[in-house]
Amino acid sequence: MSDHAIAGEPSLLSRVAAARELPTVVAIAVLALVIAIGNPSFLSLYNMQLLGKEVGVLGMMAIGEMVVIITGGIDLSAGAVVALTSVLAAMGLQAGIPVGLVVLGIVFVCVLIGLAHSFFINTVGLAPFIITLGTMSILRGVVLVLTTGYPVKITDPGFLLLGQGNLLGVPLQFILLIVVAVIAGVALTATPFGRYVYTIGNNPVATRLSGVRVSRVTTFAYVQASVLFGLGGLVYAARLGQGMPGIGNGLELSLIAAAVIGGTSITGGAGTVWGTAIGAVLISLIMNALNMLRVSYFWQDFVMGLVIVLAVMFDALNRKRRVAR
Amino acid sequence: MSQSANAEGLATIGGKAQHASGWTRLLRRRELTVVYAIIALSIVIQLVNHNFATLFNFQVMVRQIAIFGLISLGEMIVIITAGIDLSMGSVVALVGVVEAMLVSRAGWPPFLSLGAGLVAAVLIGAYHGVAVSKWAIPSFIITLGSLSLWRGLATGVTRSYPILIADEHLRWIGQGIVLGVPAPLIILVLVAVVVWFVLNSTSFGRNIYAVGGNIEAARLSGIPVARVLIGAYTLASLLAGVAGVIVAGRMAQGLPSVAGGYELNAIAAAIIGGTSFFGGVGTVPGVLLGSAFMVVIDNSLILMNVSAYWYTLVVGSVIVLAVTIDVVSTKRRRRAEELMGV
Repeated sequence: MSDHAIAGEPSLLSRVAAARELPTVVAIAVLALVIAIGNPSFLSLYNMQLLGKEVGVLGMMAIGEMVVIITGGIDLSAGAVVALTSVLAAMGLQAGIPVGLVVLGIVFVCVLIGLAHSFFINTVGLAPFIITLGTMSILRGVVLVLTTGYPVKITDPGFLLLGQGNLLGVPLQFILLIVVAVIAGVALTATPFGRYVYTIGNNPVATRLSGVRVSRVTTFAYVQASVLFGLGGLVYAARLGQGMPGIGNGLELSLIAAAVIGGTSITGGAGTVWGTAIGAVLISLIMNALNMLRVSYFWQDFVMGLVIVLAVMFDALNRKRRVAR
Repeated sequence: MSQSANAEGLATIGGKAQHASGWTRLLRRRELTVVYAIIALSIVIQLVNHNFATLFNFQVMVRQIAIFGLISLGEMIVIITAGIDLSMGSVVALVGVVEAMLVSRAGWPPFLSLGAGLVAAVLIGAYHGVAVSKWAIPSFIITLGSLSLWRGLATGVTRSYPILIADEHLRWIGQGIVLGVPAPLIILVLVAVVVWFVLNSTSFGRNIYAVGGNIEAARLSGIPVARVLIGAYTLASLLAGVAGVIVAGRMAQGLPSVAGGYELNAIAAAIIGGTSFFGGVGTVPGVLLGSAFMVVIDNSLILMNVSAYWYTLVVGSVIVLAVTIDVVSTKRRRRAEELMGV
């Protein structure tokens, strides 16, 4: 069904991938051209770095979301995890805890969140969207209770580098995306774990019957997603110089949109790191376009909703065509 | 497993045997538990803060129950079909904004504006139903898109400003009182009776349970599954729309940011009221009690002087807890049925 996503035949893989991602690439090119004509400062180094930062953090988290979606699940808690980790990081730093320990602590908390998701999904048997919707609400509540709604300032210069630093002009968070993408790409296409991720999404029962420990693979999927969301929260906190309780509202929508635009099937079984990264570029570009072309901030939610609806409809059309074939 | 599910689906299709007389349903264990919980919670709050059992506070709570109740009934209908609607709060906001813009900006007659708002809700619901049944898009994803889309539309057209509603009739819907009873409560009771009738005494209603109980069995037994789903999602959005009209009247304005997160509340109320996430199960009285429970919790946090920030946390925990109980008990029941060879 989604043979192009499974490793093994590079020539076929590259051919189909090229065809599948072509519309997105064209859309990116056209949109970039339109923005550049509408506002020449689009091409300024400053704006390019801004774009690179957004692509970096969004792409990294979208890859985490994508892996979950490929297994046939979903994680709606991304925005809440981002808010929680950004706030926790700021509070930890304010308390004088060293940066390394703060990052370790955040990763630990995220692993726990992922394990909790896995427990409720695999052991109890809850639908992924409902448990992650529940934790979304719970974690948002925790954030508000912790901060009473006020931002928490960060002054540690070493930590701020994560969100504001550049290496040879390239934002550090963009480099972080490349690292994550390479690891995820290799893990998904060149290891048994990666193959199981796809087969579970395509047919969980057959995968279980063939002796794969399905729950172990999905557990890892949810844990890595939470950890990548947590890293995203750290990046945002470092970029803004504060832990923001209200940050990441509706972020999960952007992540799902990026993954689906990049060819991830919303019902699981198909998706590529490369495609999702491209999807993240398109999403970031659309957001950038709204600013560059001075479209009112108030229309952002509407545009985001439109993007995801169109992407999902396109995916549904593709699925129908695949079934028909 | 599939056999018992089949049996369940067929039993539901089979007719009213399962939903026998009104009183037995009212006295079902699940609903009684919720009643006890509400009473116990109320006693505790009254002991802590004597302002709980006052006419004023009851009127406040009743208005809120009316709004939550309408949304929760809509959510219940969708959950019975084994789906979910995450766009409820956004539809509430959009309908209020549409009504307010038409009556205050475009100069439409009040009730035509109200009607247009409800039509918008109906169209949104029908679109959800088509997306789920014809295009095979998961309900949570299409309604998540709507969550952003419709609040975004309401925010965009108003530039996030509230739009005042001067018309007295439209305000009355949210603020009016008839013989001491708030108008929203009267609307809720009327709507609840209609929904109850539709679910229990029409073929459309029975088909909703059948589709949720076992969609394949329903399809094989000739039920027009797509039409039933479209109807269910449309009805759900319409109920959110009615809530939107009440909210707008109560605040005398169309406010694009209103009702944020109400869908979570509605989901919690529906599940507490005994609606099963497996689909095919859910009753009107149960969900009304579930809404009352959620409102009393909200009210208790305020009266006990706990920060409002705790509410989000509590709603999330209630959802996780209630769904876990639902899943565990359903699994146990199915296993028992299998053992008994049902």
